[in-house]
Amino acid sequence: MEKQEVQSRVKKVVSRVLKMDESEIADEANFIFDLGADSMQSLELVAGFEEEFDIEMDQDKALEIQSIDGAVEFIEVYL
Amino acid sequence: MTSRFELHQENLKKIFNPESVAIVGATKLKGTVPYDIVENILKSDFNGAVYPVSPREKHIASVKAYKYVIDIEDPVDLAIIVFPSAVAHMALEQCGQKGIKSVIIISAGYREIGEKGIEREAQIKEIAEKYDISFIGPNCLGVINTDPSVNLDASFARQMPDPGNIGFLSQSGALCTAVLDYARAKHIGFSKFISFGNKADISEIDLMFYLMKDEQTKVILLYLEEVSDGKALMNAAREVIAQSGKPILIIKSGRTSEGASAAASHTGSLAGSDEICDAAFEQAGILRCDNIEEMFNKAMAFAYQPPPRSNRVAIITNAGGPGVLTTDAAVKEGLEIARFSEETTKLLKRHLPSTANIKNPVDVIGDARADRYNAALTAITNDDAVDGIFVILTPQSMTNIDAIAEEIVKVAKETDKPIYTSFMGEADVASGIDILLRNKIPHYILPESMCKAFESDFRFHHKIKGHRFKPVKVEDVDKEAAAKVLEGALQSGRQVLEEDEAEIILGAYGLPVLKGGLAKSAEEAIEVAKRIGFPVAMKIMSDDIIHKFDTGGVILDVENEEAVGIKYQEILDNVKEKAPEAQIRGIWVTEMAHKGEEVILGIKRDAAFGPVIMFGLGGIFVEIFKDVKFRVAPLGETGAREMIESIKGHKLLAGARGKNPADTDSLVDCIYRLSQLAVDFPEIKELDVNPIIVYDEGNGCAVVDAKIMF
Amino acid sequence: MEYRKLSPEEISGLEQQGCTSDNWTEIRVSASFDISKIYKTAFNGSCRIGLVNRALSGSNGEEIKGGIYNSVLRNATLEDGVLIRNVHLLENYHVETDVIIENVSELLVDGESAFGNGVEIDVLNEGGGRELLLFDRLSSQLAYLMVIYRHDTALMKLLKGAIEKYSKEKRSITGRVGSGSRISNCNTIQNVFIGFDVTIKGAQYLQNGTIIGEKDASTFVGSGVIAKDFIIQSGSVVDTGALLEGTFVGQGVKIGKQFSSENSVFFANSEGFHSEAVSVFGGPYTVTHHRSTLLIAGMYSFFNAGSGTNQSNHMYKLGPLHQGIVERGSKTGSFSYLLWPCKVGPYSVVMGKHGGNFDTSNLPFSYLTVENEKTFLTPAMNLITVGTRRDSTKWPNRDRRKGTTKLDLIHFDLLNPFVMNKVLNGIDILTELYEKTPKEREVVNYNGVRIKRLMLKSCKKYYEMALHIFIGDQVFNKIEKLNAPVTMEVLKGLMKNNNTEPEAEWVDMAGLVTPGGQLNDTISRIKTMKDADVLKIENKLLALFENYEIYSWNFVCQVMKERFGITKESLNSDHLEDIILRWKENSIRLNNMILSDAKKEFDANSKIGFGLGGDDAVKNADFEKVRGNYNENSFVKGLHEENGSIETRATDMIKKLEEL
Repeated sequence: MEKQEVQSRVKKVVSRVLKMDESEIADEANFIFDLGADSMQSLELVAGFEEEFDIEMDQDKALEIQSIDGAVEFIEVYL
Repeated sequence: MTSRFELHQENLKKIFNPESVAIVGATKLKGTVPYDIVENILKSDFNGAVYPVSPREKHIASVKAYKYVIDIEDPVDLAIIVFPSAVAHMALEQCGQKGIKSVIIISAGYREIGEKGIEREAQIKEIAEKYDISFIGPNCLGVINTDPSVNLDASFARQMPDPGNIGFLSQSGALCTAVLDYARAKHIGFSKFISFGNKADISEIDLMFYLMKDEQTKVILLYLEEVSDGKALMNAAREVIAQSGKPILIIKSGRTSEGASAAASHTGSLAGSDEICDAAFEQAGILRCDNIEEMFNKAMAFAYQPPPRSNRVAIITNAGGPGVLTTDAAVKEGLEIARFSEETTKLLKRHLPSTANIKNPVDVIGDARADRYNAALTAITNDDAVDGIFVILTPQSMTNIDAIAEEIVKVAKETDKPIYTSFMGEADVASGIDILLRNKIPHYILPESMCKAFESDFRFHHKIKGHRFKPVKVEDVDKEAAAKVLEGALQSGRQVLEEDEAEIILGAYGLPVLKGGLAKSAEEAIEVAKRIGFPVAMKIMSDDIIHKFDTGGVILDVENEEAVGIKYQEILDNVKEKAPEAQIRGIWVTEMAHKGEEVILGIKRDAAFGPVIMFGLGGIFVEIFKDVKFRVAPLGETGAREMIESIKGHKLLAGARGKNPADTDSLVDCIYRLSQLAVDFPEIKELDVNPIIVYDEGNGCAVVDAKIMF
Repeated sequence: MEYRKLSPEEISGLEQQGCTSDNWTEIRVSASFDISKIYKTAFNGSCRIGLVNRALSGSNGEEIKGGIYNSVLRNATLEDGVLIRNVHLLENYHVETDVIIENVSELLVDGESAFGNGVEIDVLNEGGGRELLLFDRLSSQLAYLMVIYRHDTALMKLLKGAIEKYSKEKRSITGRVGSGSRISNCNTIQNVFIGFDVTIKGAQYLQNGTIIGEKDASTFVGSGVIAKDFIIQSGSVVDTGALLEGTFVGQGVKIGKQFSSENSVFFANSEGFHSEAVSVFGGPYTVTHHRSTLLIAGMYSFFNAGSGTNQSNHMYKLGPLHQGIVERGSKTGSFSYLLWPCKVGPYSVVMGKHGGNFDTSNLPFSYLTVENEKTFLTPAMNLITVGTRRDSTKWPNRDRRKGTTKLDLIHFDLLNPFVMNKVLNGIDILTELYEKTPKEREVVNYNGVRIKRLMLKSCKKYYEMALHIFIGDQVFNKIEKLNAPVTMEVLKGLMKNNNTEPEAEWVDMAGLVTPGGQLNDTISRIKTMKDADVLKIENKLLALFENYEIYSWNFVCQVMKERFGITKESLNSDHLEDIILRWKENSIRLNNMILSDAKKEFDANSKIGFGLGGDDAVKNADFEKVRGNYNENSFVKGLHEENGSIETRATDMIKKLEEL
């Protein structure tokens, strides 16, 4: 899968979980500082990524990811 | 360039008096810190603009929210960061870009959680320095300014306190909420209320200086969990007291004896960090309190009532027992029970029933109502021989409690003498106590606390305030000679210096060491003995032998040359048998000291306060009664004298039981010379002069044994 | 004891010492009696007086001389060595040896009394229908049966009969003050049975009750207490203005600071301060400390009520008829509110104001929050918090019951079959909901709560984690306890494959967890009992309690079969190795999550107390005491050590299994 596609799908999940427009989400956006996610939403994000990409991630490590870029990089390893 | 200290003083102005506040990281979730802070600021009727900053929300609590702090069009005076610590630095960076200089970081997750948090703390500190930002926190509850022209509750405490004259600083946020709750029940108001958390940038010292100049603040209260720079705290306290005359009350938690056990010297083992803290606070004029109750008992006295002119107190009571209790407590606290003038006695006789006791403590009798209290109170407050009045009440069937409370309030308004009260009981007297507290009359549940509070007030105004600290710089010392010995020892990697070397160092600082010399052969020993005169004492010098007496390494009272030769060999033989491996440097031949009073002096270095001097009586007094006194160096002559006078066994030196008074002057001299040594050589970790013998007045003293550890 | 009449010399001596009697011939004394230390006392009715002038011990171990001063006695029996001083009326009481009664207005029994035994209270449902009879041996399990099994009329009749019989035996026209007791500065004490080593100091008004004390579990009733129709069990403290009416105070309970309670029971180690309780079934460790907190019409255990917590049982229709069940280990956050009827699953945290009725019994360890006035549930979150772990280790350590009999039967295990039963149900529910719900849906509804759809997946993993830890723990214990050398034969022998019907769901009888089927059998056995009495019933319940390990293992075998397909026949070392490895991995993972939660919470601003005043109630903040240094925190250290030992235990076990 192209990095571009991973990124756009990551943004899609984020926009759905955090209820915001995809256009508001920058590539390097930080989940907490820029997007205002809380810890519960982080859990939803992890499940959302798993569902979107049909993968099972290491939940604990996944929860440490802080940004869109970081998530893209992390997910790519599983693809 | 302005120092961080000056910068903080400048930036603190906007922390307390901002015209606009941004809450960075706010959310809409009620019951969370980020929301509660916004709500508190709005609820407190803050006199300025409020800007919630939230990545998600368009508005919070009906106030327009901004995505980033840099999006706010208008200038912002104060930013309160509530983002999680993982991203708080990003928020601080933006504050810097926005030109905000005053910041409170509420977020937790810093030094208190270990390594990761220490890194984060360094990171925010770096950003603050880059932008000349001053911040309070992190890991704190926030700041409250009750000044009606500001009305800022920038905290997540549940309720804003009443305005008042007490400035409260706390390292623990949790304690703050408890204190607010406690204070509200007692109608205690605050001028400023600050939780400073990890004090990564602005410290309690910066805040003390700020409160020093704060007009609303009359008393400064501080709750500390750790003293990081004790010296600075002492200096700050001294300066604040000297410049403003405001009392400083501190609770330092952790009254444990940690650190006092594993020390190599007497001084080390006796000086727990808490004892040192006690001494340091006392020296700096800080009133140390054991708990919140004691702190507010005293704070009420300072904040509510005029200072007493002296310590003569009058007691008015409606029951005999409590009157006696109070008298006992007052005497125990060193207060004087006032003797009334004839005029007062006459007035009391006229207004009180014949069964009443018109002498101090005045008993207005169980059936007294408000008029009788008023008569007694008025007569007594007008008596020149009275400096303070304690009013006691026990609820009896005739007692009209509320009316009596009102009378006290009335009298208190018209006098410049402090009036303290104790309405004993709980349920029945509650409404009366409420009247007193609302009208700023200090009230105490126990007469003991009342007397303690008065004593503090008296002591502060008459013994601490205006008492300038003057350390003595001792000039006639041979610093170089001492340095040479120490350097030599340091280079050879040794950690203990025994008598021979220790006494050179002490001698160089002008302490009265006994004449002596190190002998490496019997011939040398005889030479030394001849030079100093007989009898002499002889001691083995070896780093490897700790218990010199037990190994036969010490022989006293050697009378002549021949004996010196014989004993020299005897000591070597003894030691070879008991400790064959020991490295021997020689035998120390020294004058025999005459009999006198044995005392002990010492130095210890405390992590927070630096060098500490100890003084105590020798023998069992130090071993069993631990009758010793500490002072942080440097200290002046008065300080040294106070040390001697404040130990319990002081009478032994002052000439008790037919003895001549001891030469305390020379002891004072020794103490401040030792203090100079401690200041000059930070490499000395611990030092024992044990014993030093003090002779009768005019005859000086003599160092008999000394040991230095570094 | 033999009593004799007073001699004329003794009578005149007593009269010279200011004593009176309405009839001296009715005053009998022990053989050794002497008149010293008896002054200004009226002996009325028929009294029996021993040698009061004997030494007894004061509170600081000093010796106090017995005696009778300034008092009025009527129909009183005093054994040797008692001190009665300033007691305005001591009537119809038998005072045992080594007792001090001082400054008491009245201590009397006025007519036959059962001393609080047999008092009927409306517990759990304020509207009635769940009447509970109080008596001085009431255990949380017996109360559970009385309150919950109303539908079993035969059982009800039997239990009621047994308790009534017990209460009848307690009836008397004479009260008792047991040896070692101290009563001082009290107002009226009426119809109260006072056991051994009880101290009553400054109580305001005590009526119709029993206060039990024991040598190692002395009981204290303190200042301002007003209690009516009550039982106070041994080792408890009821103090500072507590207000009790129709209330049972179990063993090691602390109540005070104006706590007010009506129609309620509080079993072992509960604590009630400041707040209010109405029709509360407080199982063991029910704790409510804060002002403005109301517990009403609910059943709780291992519970902690946040300040301002409130529940409502009244929807202004047919009256206060609703009730709530909060299963063990749960908490309510500050100012949270629940509208009964509700059932909150074990170890859950309730935050916010909930306006709907829900049943989350099968989703343990949940967070219940409110968003836009709707209840949201996040399953399993409280499993990974430091609070849950700390509570579970704290409870057994804080068992204050120091006497010989522990009435309540308590299982402390955090992960016990009752909870695991629900964890399994939870896994199934979450799986089903996830599969069933279209991906477009953001939330799903379940039993009155909403769950974020994506959370179903994440949270199920936490339940599975708990399952692996539980099974591993149990298997470990079983193997490590083996006396025989470990062979595959022996291990197969451990497996229970009684192919009978699966047990009914486990139940938590206010502290005792047991399979529903076993409980039903026990109830049948109780019902067929001849001459049922309280002690016999207690013994049956005790058997359930003691068989916990056996039942738990049966449960484990059942789970292994159903979830992992492991049976007696199929068991092999790969199975076991797999269980051990999963156990290791998940235990360490959970500990690490708790550690990271501990870090977050380390400076927690919620717990205060040390140094403040310094009374016992605030001292329960031991974790907070050491805050400021995460790495040296005993709890944190403990978890690190546990991680280490998990590694070694797993390695050793796998080595052992490989040798098979």
